[in-house]
Amino acid sequence: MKFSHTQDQLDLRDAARDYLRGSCTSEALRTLVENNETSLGNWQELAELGLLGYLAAEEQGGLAMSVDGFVLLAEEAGYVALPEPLLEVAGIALPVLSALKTDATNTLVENICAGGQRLMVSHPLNPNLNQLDVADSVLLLQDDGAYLMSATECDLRPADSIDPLRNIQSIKAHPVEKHQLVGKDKVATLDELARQHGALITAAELLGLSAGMINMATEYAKERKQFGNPIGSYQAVKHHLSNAFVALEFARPVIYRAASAVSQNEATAALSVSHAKIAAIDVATLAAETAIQIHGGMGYTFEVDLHLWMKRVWAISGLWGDRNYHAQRVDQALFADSLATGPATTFS
Amino acid sequence: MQLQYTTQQEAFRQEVRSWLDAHVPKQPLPSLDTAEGFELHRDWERTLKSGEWGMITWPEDYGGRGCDLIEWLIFEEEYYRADAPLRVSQNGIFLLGPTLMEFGSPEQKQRFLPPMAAGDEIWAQSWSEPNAGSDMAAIRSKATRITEDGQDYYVLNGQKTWSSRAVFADWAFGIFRTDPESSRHHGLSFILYPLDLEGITIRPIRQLDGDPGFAEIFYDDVKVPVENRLGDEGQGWGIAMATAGFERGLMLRSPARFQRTAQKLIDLYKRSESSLSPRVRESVMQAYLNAEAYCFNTYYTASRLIDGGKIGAEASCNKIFWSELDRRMHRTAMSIMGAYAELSEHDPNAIDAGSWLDGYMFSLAGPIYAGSNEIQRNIIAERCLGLPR
Repeated sequence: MKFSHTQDQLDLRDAARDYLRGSCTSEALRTLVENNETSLGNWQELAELGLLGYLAAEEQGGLAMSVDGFVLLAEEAGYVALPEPLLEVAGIALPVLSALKTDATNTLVENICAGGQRLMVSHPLNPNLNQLDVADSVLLLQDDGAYLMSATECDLRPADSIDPLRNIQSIKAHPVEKHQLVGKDKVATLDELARQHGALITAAELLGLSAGMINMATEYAKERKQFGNPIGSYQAVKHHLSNAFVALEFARPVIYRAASAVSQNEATAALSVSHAKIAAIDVATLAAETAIQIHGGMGYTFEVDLHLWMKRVWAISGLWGDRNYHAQRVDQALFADSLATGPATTFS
Repeated sequence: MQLQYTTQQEAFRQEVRSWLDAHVPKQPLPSLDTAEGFELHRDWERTLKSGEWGMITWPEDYGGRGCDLIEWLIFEEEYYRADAPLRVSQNGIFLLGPTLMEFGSPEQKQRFLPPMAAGDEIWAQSWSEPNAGSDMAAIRSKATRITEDGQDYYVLNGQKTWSSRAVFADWAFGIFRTDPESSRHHGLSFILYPLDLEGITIRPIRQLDGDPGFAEIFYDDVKVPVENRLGDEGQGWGIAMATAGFERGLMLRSPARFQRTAQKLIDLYKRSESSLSPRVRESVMQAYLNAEAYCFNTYYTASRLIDGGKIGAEASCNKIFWSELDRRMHRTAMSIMGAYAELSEHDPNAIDAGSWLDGYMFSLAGPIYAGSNEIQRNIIAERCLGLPR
């Protein structure tokens, strides 16, 4: 029993943190917004850092690390509000694709790791895809099977997100037999894999966004003076920030526990993931509302960076199952399926 | 991340479970805040000692088993699972014990720890004074040093209040002003003293449940040998802060306690489900999730501590989280019981023997004791977030 990350996982987290905080700065994001762009153009650098192949096997050019470490990367991506679809490709699409283990999918996994090809999962839970480029591929999960298509083969319509750094499109696809990877009988496993990774990674990103917003609001409260003192010296302001900090401290291990359950393929992994998504949505909502309150009128404008983080929270909170969806999953386990509860049931 | 117990840990769990199955009283004991209940709880501490379960994380030399924090959490899970009695020795084993371990002399450790773990000496705490509550640095009770027949003493004068267990306990610890010229957190010393010394008057205070769970203590020229000072003279504040950290940290309120409450709340809900609104169901679910979250957080922290980490101001986060969780769970239970909620433990028709009402009352103290939650939020803001004082 050891509820902590390995040194390898922490080292890679630190490397990703240094890179992301150095390159995905708020100045860089502001420039993108001013130029009506949504990409930092750093995909190859993400590949070279090993982030794209973090979950892939070594023989496919990956690092063969597990998802309980990947959530640390997702936190870092959230912390800087990274606009690139790193998490969608490397944290969600890649593990689903890797599960298939055919020659064709193995080759694609290698290409993804090297940064040559990108793949996104299209799933009924999410109406839109983010940052899908014409050169990308789409892994389509439907009731009747899983399909692999190129973006150009899908019917894409631009959609408009409140988050200026999300470039989203609604997707309609009409796959035919040549696109099929697996049929109706085998899609359920892939579907559950996608749901679990999708909700888990999104939860971890929300955790990072929350930490970013709390930090932003704290720094603002140290600088901004009213009545002759920094507003952060006043208890009313302190207590708002402390509440958000406590919520964050108690959400983080929930996400880590779920990540471990997913990586070990535990029987209760889906339940753990639903708990994680609920906890992440709650803390991110609280952190965003706290942060705008601390920023006062400035928080309601484009003048400070907060809006980019806050809008990302709104945008991704509902992806891979909203709060209600996950609450129903927990409800089912707790009240219908007679889940064992109480002391000594948590890790057994 | 390795979230499975080892074979050894599983075996340890079985050992705890079997022992508790054989020894936990079949009927709940009367409240430990009554004279009769206090002695029965003391007997239970002695029973625990007979199985060497008094305080398992302490070294064997001091009456413990040298267990690590994961084993401690396992022990607690089994303890609450078995609905074993509350620990009447908690001020000693959870607060003073770890403080002695860190700041005590070898003689003090040997003198005080073993009888503490055995239930032979039950401890009360004495921090607050009438004008020093959240602002504890405002304390005025004095300890004046004198020499008599070649022996050095402190003479205690003043008054303490909200002293938990003081009505029935044997010993107490607290901080007193040893430097009369000092102010605030300077010039204070941490002193241990028996409660039956001449010059001590104890006035019980009735708590919400009607029992004298705490008391005022009056000191009128009470003579205590200087050897009863913990740490150096004038260092009392820092030591008291360490004690408070232990109180808010991992030991006093382990997750099993709240997981047990959440489990019972689910059971209570299921018994009356048909007549309740979906809102209640949502609250019950949230209670379960938050109790689990508290458990994950505790294992996460314990793993960090085992690797040599320290728990600092984050202990304040714990205290806020568990106290609010406990209050919310009991509030939900009260709402489920509707018109039956008012029935006290003495009423045969009380649901679950009145334990929810009792627990609700106690949960209201949670955000107040061990440093009010407002004080905790200040600590978090200043020490975790770095906001200006």
